[in-house]
Amino acid sequence: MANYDWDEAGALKRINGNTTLLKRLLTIYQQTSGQLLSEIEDARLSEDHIKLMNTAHALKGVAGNLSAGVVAKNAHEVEVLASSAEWGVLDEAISQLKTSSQRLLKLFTEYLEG
Amino acid sequence: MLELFKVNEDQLSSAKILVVDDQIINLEIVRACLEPHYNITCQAESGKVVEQAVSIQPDLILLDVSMPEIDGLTLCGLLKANEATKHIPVIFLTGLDDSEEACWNAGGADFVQKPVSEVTLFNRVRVQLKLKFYTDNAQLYASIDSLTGVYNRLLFDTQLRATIGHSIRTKAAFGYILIDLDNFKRINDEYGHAFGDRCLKSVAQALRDAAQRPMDVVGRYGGEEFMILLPDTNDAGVVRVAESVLDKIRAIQLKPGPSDDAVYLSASAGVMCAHGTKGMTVESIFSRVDAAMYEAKHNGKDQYVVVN
Repeated sequence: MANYDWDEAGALKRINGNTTLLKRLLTIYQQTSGQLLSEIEDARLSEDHIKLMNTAHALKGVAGNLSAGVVAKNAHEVEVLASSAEWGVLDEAISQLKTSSQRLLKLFTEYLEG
Repeated sequence: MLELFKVNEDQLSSAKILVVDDQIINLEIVRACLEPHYNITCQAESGKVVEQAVSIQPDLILLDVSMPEIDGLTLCGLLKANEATKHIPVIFLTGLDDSEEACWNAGGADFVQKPVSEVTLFNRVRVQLKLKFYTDNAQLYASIDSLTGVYNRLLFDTQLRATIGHSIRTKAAFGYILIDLDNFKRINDEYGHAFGDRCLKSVAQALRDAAQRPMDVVGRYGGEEFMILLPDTNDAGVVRVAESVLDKIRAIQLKPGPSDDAVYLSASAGVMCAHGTKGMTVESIFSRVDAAMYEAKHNGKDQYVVVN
């Protein structure tokens, strides 16, 4: 069954099927994505539109390269909304990003421990 | 002629690519896509890129657009403004939907959307490398004497100017030897131009054999005149090379035809060891070494004269 949160086959294809490298990249993601999410929350609290946009953009890029489609999509929504002042809509997008990020981390943990 | 510039697989597989992205995961993914084919260097700190590019002279730079220290578009501008890096093509890696025009305007040769497709990345990199090497080959062939394979006068003079500048900065001496094949007109008249060309090729090879260090430069000034540039070389070193050159030319034995006797060659040379000074020019050096070479001719040929 297709997993919309993470396309494992797509991620592997991008790195020539190197499972060792994939595990290393997922581990790096586990270690660094929390920092990016914290920065997004900080930028929201301080209403720093530019930082919010740039950090969401960085998370989108990393997630996209790991074929984590939902996180990449949610991060993209935050990036786009960051330039608007509609905080309610933005907060909802950030909440969705955090939720999909948690699901993704769980998937990565299962893969790494599997 | 175009066939001469053709890019071969050895050239492509020796390509050096600098990949710049502030996210380690993105760097590693690009590395995984390209490392089986090329030599990859990764850099996560955009502030270090210009210095690194000047140092390693990559054949291609892959540049993330959005980076915290210096963004990719600004960085591309800095690379294009630097004499040592302006010729290096840049491919942008971009996840920004509306940055295409900005990428072109910044001087990018192409861009690849993130998340990267390994097939697209591989092929776009390959296209840019082929273009780069094709241009390099064309410039190289434009700088090479087509008969002998040594530098032509234009490139040799460029190297000489650089060596003068280097000598001014480092106080290191350099050598310049001007070599003129003796009696070449008679050889051409007696045995024909095809044989004359064989003589010139053999002399060029003798000069290459005598000046073997990677930084030594052999050039053809025109006709039967050649020159050698010896950076970071003192008086004794320059004279040693001059003697070796004349010995190697004397050792050349070429037969115009299968049943002919071998023709022996000799040359006269002007030899100079100099320190770069402000105001020193290619022309001023040449006129002094040319006078010394003519003095060697006047003294009976097959010898060298050192410029005082």
